[in-house]
Amino acid sequence: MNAFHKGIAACAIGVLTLVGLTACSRGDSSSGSSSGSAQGASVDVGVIEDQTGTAATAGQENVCGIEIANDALAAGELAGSPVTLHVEDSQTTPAVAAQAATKLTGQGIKLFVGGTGTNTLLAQIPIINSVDGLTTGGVTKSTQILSEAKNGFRLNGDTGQDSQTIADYLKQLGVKTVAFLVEEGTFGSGVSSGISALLPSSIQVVDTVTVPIGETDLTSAVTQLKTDDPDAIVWGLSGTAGPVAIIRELKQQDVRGQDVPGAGLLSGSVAQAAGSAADGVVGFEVWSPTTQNDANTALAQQFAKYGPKHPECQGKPLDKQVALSYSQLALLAAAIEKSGSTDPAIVRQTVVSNSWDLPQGTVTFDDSGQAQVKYTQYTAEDGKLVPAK
Amino acid sequence: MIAQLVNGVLIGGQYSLAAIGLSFMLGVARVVNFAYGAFYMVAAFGTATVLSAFHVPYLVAALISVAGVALLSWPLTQLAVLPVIRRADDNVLISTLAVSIIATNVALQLFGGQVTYIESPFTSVKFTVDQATVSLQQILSLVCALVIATVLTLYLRRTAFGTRIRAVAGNPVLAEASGISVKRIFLVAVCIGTVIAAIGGVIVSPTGVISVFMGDNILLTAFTVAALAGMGKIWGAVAVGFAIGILESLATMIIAPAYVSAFVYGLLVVALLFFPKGLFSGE
Repeated sequence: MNAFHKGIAACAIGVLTLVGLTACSRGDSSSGSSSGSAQGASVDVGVIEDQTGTAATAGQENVCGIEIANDALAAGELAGSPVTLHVEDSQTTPAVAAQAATKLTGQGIKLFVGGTGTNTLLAQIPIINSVDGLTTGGVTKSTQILSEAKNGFRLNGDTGQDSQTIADYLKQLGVKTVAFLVEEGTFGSGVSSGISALLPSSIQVVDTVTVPIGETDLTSAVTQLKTDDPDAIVWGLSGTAGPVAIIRELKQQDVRGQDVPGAGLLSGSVAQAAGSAADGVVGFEVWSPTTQNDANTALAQQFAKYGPKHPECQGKPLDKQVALSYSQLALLAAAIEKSGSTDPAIVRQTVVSNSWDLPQGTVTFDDSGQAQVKYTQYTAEDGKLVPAK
Repeated sequence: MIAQLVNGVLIGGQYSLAAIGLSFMLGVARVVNFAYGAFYMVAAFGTATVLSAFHVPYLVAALISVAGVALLSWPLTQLAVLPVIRRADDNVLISTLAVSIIATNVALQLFGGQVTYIESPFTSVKFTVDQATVSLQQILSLVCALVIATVLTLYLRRTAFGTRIRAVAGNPVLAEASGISVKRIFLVAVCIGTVIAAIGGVIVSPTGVISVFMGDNILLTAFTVAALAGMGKIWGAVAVGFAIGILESLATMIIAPAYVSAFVYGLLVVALLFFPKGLFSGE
């Protein structure tokens, strides 16, 4: 080995060591437990999120929201029982999510907050059910979550509520023709079929274009929609990449029809990543940074105060993912304190039989555990979400 | 139909641009370089970073980014490709896969999992052809693919070093016996291929969005095009790139875009059954 090769090898070892150390330090902060409070009995809470893999962005934002709520609880800035978090990465893989649930339930944990995607959360539910545990439903939308969970409730809107909101908006716009661009699979077909079923006969669905999940090259699909020339294009693409790609492509191709994201799909991250292309696009969400109430103001302050110390929060806007995850832990901690119990069934009953002041507003639940939500209308401006005019 | 045909040509140009470098590496060094997509991604993020940090014009940022990747490719090829290239094929696969994974994870640490975009003035210069809206950036991708293929062909045929590259591509053992440094040729070939990947990354990316995982899709597309064209068939890669782009776009008129890839790649499998060494291997 000559001097040149030795030099390269030394550099490589240095780089690999640096990468390894960085990875290890991240692993410690995300998978270990963090202290809940110095005072009072701390309740163990499991958190299983997709912190790596294709849903990593959303999963990290969820962890961010939960960590901030935990910090606020520990500092006494949020009312509720102190908790100790046990955070696991489900890697956007159902089998890994199930392993994580098995590990945490094996440690005696019965209360679970969070869940990034329907598939990884559904994989956890039988294991959580086996210990009569509780799940807060994460940021999922599928009705299957609440029908399968023994003790579950959910703050996010479900697909039926989303569809009704968008159908009402289309009626309000007075459009005559609508086209859908949705991803293949349950989520995408739920958006198109759910909204279509609620449209009056005066609004005609002229086309439904289905694209692969995660597709970002939407040139041909948008050209096809442009040929249909609808008054509005409703899209149902999950994640961040697809929504950013469709917003930019609709603008790039100067499509005439109104750009209508499915409910909850125009997030702060999407608006930020899409830049000026998202200007004027209207969205609907169960939570909005523009909502005016004390809890939302407190959330914004705590995000600014505690966010910088968590790697999961860095570079992220205060988003729906962060807010809903924060609300889940805040609600769980408040319900534990109100009920005076950590029994999952009692905690759930306390949650669904009361109303709660959360960042999204005053929230009540139906018998299934689904929050009865009021959607906020907002729009994107300079990469940020602002109240719709 | 005209609109989708226009789209197909433009997408085909992007596929061709993505595949030329990989095809060249395959032809000369017989290297299936799994880090190819990672360099494409690194160049795209490099451009976005230079743009936001220094507020320089897009073309300057693109040039800086490509130069950065070129500088990076030299030691990485020395480290990850040359020591294992003559041992067994799977060694290079594993070694370049490791480079790809490391590059993706470093990018994930630096840029996070967020998607972003590259602001280019050429995306806002648009023309309408039938129902299709064509941007200058898309035309630039197409022109770049044709220019790179032409320059590469001329370089291989008209220069002494190009002749040595062709000699190594034809028979490395004989070339080495003739006094040609095969290792040096491999090094240059892999670096040229990597730079072409970087050019693809900076030219094509402004037409869409960029993410740290974008390299995986590009690698798949580039490898498919290169394999179907035949090892090292540069103009074959251009032709196949255009063919796949046009086929995909036209197919969206009769089947859902969600199934277009399956349809097109199914056709490719059939084509490889009849032409196992690629459509242009007899060229």
